[in-house]
Amino acid sequence: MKKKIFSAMKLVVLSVWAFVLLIPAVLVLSGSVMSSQELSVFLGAVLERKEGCISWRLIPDYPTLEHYKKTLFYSPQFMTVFWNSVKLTALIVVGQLLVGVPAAWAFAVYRFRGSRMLFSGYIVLMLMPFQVTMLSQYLVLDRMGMMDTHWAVVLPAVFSTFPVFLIYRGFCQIPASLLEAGRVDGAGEWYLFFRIGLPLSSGGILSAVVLGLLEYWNMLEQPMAFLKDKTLWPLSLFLPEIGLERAGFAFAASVIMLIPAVFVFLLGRDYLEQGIVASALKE
Amino acid sequence: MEKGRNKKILLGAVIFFGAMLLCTLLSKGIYASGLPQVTVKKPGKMVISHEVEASGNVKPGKELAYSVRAGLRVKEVLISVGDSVEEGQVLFILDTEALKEEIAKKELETDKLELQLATLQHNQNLLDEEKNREMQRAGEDAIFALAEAQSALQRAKEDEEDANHQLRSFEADTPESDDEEVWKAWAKERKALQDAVTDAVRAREDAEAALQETQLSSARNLEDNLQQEQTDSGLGIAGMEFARAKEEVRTLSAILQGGGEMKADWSGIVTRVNVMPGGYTTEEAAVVFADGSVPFLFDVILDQEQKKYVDLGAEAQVVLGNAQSGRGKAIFVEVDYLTEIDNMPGSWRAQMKLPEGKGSLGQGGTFLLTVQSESFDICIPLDALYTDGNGRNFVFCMEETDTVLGAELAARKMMVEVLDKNDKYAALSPGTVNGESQVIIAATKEFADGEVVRLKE
Repeated sequence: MKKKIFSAMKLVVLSVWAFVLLIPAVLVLSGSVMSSQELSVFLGAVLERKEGCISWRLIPDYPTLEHYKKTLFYSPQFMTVFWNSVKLTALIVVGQLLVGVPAAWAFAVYRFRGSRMLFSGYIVLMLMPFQVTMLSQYLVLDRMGMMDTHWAVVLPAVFSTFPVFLIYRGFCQIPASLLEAGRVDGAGEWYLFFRIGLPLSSGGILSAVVLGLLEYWNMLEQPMAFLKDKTLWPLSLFLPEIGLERAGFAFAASVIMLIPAVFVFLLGRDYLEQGIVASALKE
Repeated sequence: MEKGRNKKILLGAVIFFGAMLLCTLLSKGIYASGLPQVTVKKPGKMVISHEVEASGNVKPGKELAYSVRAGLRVKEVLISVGDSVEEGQVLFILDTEALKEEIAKKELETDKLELQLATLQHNQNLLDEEKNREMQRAGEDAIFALAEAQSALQRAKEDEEDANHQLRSFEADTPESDDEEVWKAWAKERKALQDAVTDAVRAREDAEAALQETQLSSARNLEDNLQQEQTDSGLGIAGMEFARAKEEVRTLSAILQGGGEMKADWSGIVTRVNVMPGGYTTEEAAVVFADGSVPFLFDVILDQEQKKYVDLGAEAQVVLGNAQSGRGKAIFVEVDYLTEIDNMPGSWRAQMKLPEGKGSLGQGGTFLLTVQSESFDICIPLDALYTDGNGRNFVFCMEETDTVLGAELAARKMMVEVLDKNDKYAALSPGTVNGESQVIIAATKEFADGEVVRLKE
């Protein structure tokens, strides 16, 4: 009986807590189907600098899909930045796989002079926030003539250390004896990498992919620092540019921006958990 | 189970991105078709010409009035406005019966005036005689008074002479004795003689004054008599009235002899007829003619804006006729008359002499005048110029702007100063707009400052 009561209380508390966490998403969703008149009333304190605070209603009196219509059919600017985000995220994640997977394999499988020191260097770099490395990245990119191009955002992210670390954790779980047995049986290094390494640590790789997709879909600082040309901007940079007087459009754009992230989350929920756990483990 | 779920999610993601791709294509198409399509033009160097165009009509160059005595009954009118009349042509016929009555009345009046004149003449004669008599008497009185005064003066002068003579004789005969008594008696006698001289001098001066006064009063009397005669002009007036009445009788008789026909004294075109059958002639002119020997005038009314470009003596063109009757060739004229219309402030009347033989009275036409300004470097079509609520002028220039979609064309509002303009072009002061500016002169739909536009294909 006590257990049942405890479970019920836990459910209530968690539900309330979950609702609190979901409030921003709910506000965005209800705002995206709210008429402009209602928005101007509720957001009047901000939009028209009236006195008082903003108010809100979860279910609009006059729900409309007008903002979605405008966003999807009358705003090629939104589409441009949407595909910019898709392009940047895809290039970065693919680049990270091409660079990070072999690097992690090398760190996990091969022992060479200075390998541990090099990996420690990787860890240190991973701990550095973007603001610390921004200036050096800026100078390098400027020297290479890549400023104001998508490569200025893609290349530094491709060589990010975090996915290497995550994938490394996956490769480390492969027993060394298994690889040794393969070598004894005449398997080459490429064979071991593709036939044993990748299948056995696919969880770690997918974790890196899921975390990378979510991170770079929402990245803000890198494009803000390296992209001046508005045609190259991703969605995350475009959304704050939408004026408050077009609040409905901003809400609808936010919802659309949320959808790919939801797909990624749904597809890679398990790998996301694995990745978060792996990133929390100590070397 | 897990794989099936993932497949569905993947399918959903594919559908989502496919839909986004489709929306991208559609939104670009809708966006491009919704943009205002504009036509641009670079400002050019040109001379702003001001064209004044106004409608007007042909009016007579000189008008002549044909008048007859007021109060005569009209029997028949033979002309109407617009008729071309030759000298000697009958204009209208007066009622002879009424004319005879009028003549009889006038003759009676003449007789009365004649009698009145005779009476006045007789009275005047009597007055003249009396006046002459009075004047004669006044002259005689003056002569007598003057003679008397002159005689008194003469006597005074003689008395003075005698007194002086006696005094001089006495003073020449001085006593020879040293006796004091003798000398005292001589001095006393001399004093008496000196007093007599003094009295004589005073008497002579009084006589002279009396003579002057007599002369003055005589002259005044004569003058007063003459004055009275000058103010009496009643007889003259009566004479004149009689002469005029006789003249009227003679004139009316002449008209009656002519059967009451009133004939034109000049050739011309009738512009106004103030008589009508059965009506009476008035103090106004019975018929007004346009003098056929003087060229016609073209008359237009200009507003204040048009007047700015029209001056006296300005060369202009007149095109007679209209769209219905057919336009004639342009006639080159000069503005001969230009004045503000009294009862229409802000409106001006301009008149131009037409060449001889051109135009017909009342004919409509168009007045055209072109004034060339100085050459301006920055001129734009007037359609590209806008005015805001405060009366400030602005234009929209097309400029490249960086947007999310790349370099796009946007309309930028530029405040400008207008130096001159006509109904087609405006000259701008150099500044915000220069010779390389892409000024938007037309658009398929309205746009605002900063709005993205595209060039019309």
